[in-house]
Amino acid sequence: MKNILRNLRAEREWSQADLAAKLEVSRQTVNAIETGKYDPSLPLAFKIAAIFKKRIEEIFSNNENNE
Amino acid sequence: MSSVLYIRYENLYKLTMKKSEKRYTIQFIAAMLAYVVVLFVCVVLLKQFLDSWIRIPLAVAPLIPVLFGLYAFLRKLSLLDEMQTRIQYEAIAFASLATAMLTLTYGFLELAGFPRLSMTLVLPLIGFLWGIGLFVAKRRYR
Repeated sequence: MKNILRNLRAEREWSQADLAAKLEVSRQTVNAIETGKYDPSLPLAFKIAAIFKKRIEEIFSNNENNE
Repeated sequence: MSSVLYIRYENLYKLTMKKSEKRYTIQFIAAMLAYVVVLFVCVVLLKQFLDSWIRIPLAVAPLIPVLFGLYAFLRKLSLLDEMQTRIQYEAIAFASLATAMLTLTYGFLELAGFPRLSMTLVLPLIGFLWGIGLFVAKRRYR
């Protein structure tokens, strides 16, 4: 899965550690989600969406073609 | 107001998580050090009590610090987030399967005349393989 987490985070000038604390996960987990190496669970995806006030499908997309 | 509270809560979260994680790590290391000491003392004492019933509690006494260590380890596992849990799951699965295969293979080799090895070697073997599994699993998500 692809996502725009890194951009959203950069817009708000949050570090990976800042976002990790908001999500109650480790900084490594935020990094792995951003690089697409780890796909978050549905509850965590909802939490991410709530923090950025967006819908899940606005942040995550199934493949690299549709954004 | 709510954002201030939120920030405070975040810092509290960071602080408490780090503190308790650290505490369990310290507990684990302390338990392992205690294990080495108890093991050493028991091995020395055991030689003098070989014909007494005391040899049995003496022989299993090193298990007590091991249990404390396992308890601290399990508490630490419960603090992990979902990706860290997955990494641990992969490492532990690898360690269990590899240990099973290695001990089974060696068990058969013993039938072919290889020297009998102590069962106490199994735990360090699990620990070693778990470390390898952890290293590989962590790289996959980096």
